Amino acid sequence: MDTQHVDSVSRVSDSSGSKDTTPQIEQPKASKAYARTSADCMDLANNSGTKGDIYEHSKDLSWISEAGKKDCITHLTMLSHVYSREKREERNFGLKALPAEILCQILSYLNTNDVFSMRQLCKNVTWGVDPAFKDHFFAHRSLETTGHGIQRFNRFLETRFAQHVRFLTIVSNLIWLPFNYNGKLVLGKNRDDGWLELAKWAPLGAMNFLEDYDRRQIVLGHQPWRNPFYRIFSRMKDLQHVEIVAPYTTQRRTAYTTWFNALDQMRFPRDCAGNRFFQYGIFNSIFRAIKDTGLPLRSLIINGFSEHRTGQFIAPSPLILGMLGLSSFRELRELRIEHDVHMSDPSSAFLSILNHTTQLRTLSVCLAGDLNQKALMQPGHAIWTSARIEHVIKTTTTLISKLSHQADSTPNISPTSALLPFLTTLVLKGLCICGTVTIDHVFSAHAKTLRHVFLNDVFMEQPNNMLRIYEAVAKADLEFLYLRRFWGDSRQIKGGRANWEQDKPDEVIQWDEHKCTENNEDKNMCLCTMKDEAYKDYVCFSWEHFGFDTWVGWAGKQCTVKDSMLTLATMHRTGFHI
Amino acid sequence: MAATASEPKKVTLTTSDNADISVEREVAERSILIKNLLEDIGDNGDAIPIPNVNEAVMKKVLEWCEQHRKDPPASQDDDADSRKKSTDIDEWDQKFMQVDQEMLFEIILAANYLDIKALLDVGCKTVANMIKGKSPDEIRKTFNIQNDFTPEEEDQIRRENEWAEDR
Repeated sequence: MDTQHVDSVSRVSDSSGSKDTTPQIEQPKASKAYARTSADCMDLANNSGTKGDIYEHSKDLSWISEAGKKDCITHLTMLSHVYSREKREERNFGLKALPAEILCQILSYLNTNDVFSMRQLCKNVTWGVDPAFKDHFFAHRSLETTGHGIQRFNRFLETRFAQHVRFLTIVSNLIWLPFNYNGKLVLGKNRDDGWLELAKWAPLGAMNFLEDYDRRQIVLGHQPWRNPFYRIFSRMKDLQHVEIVAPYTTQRRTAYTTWFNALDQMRFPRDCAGNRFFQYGIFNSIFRAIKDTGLPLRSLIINGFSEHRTGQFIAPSPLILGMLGLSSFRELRELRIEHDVHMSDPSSAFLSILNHTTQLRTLSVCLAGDLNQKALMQPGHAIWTSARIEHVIKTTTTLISKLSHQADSTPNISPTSALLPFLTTLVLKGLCICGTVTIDHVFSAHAKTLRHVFLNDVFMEQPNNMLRIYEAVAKADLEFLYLRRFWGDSRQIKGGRANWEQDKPDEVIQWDEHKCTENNEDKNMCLCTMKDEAYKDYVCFSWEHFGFDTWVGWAGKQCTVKDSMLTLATMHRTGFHI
Repeated sequence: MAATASEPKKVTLTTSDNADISVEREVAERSILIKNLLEDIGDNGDAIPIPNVNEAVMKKVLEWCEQHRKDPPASQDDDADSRKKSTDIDEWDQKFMQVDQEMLFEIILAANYLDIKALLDVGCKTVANMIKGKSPDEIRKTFNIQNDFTPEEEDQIRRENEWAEDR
């Protein structure tokens, strides 16, 4: 048992010792003299009851005469204090002697200025906090795609911190166009007042879009080093996550003060006229740089790539995506294509990214923005509405086929790129479900791993699909389910309509508010998020076709998603009675 | 016999300076290291050697463990969250940490060695509070640290800090 005991202790000691990565200052030469002197008195120390591991290694003290021992005891008492203090100084006792992990923990409680101060104390502390410093300040960087922003970022790439960037957010600034812009002029050539504003953006254009466009770099044989994003990505060895916040463009059509605030920032950036010209450029450059550098991306987030008023969009060219192959997306674990996207070809373009992924754990896709009854059923827009529905049905079918491992006939999804059943988080917005491919197949396919599901704006041609959804969700046994706005076309639906819209008119649930994170407090489960306290434990199911509403007591966190789905399935089968 | 049965189980800890300290097992098990040791070797009455902590520090650590014996064990999530929290420290803990710097750092090292996360947090927060709002020179004075940077190295550190600021 003793042996076991000692083994355990030594194991623990070893593991503890391995954690201490603080650089040790060299031992002063004088310390040897102290060690010898103290060792000389070791035997006396033992005799006098003084204990300490510092003396235990020296035994041969026979040369000390008996007469001198008494003096030595006195000397030892004094010496032990001196030695003790000296020893502590030798090993830099105090703050700078703390292991790196503890220094890093202390650092985590400090604000930026204090961290900077701490780094200026001494070498030991600076080295000790360096991992935390790099992790805290350099793991996530932003790149502003202005001329100045890129120049500054290039200077940053020269530092030792560039290789520690794991998450890069590419933020494209607002692009200003002159009021008389006709879309044909080459950026930066005019010198009138309007173009002076454009000159701020011109460096990006010179490095980015214009090269693509004028030099035909889209075709094979391009020169990757001319692409600023290639230069950037190739310097960041540890880059795994890329977020693209796409640019907005505007034409200055109204008075300055209407559109811009005192800081020259757009008041309403989403209410601006779009321009596909530049948008293609930045996306193409980014995607091609990803391809050229072979960046092993783990997550790709594309945010805010649509401008809803004019239907302009920001998306990579489908041609580019088709040509590149994008092997970098094979290891992608997280793909988020978020924000309001207009129903146009961008959804198809982005969905083609899915063709290159098989390992996704988190998928968040918005197939259609503003997909609701008002938008779809607006009188006078029958043809447009029909086209929209058709388009969304097509993209929905493509997406669901991909998610449910079905090698659909859709050319965008090939049988070899079926998604492996590892999906844990699924966020979908703007679906049109009809035909044989329904969303319950997705729940079934990923039942073992799926934990968090958010569905918003789901148009269902056949309400009976709901029963299959309830059953599939119950089987998947989710931790969190968020359903909002499931509805169908009353002209097509004969059996009844389930409207899950919350009944509070002032209650607006923002798409972005419900991104699933590990720290989400509501992760236990809830079908609907009620902001009003009085309704927080209830969900309203409005069966309008039959003229009644049903309030289902949710009992807060007592009820699991599985239980509630089974209840709803029973309601559905038995004519909507509990 | 009934009284014996209700008596709390005790364990003996042997510190680096060969002092034996008897303590209730529940209190000692605030240390994950000791808890794991006890689970490994079983409760056979043998003293548990704690070679990296001396008697004075061990007594201080056990005083904290005694005070916090009923606290729920910290989970991984708590640990992650606590790093984002402020440096607020419980009143009792504040008084507990009113010791000289030598003892403060010994407690921190002991908490780290014994794997008592909550005590380590308190220690680190205490040190963080001593650093907050001070200039480098003031911090050096507080902790008796010598500036061993060359002027060039200081410049380098400042430049690096600027990059950190410019996110």
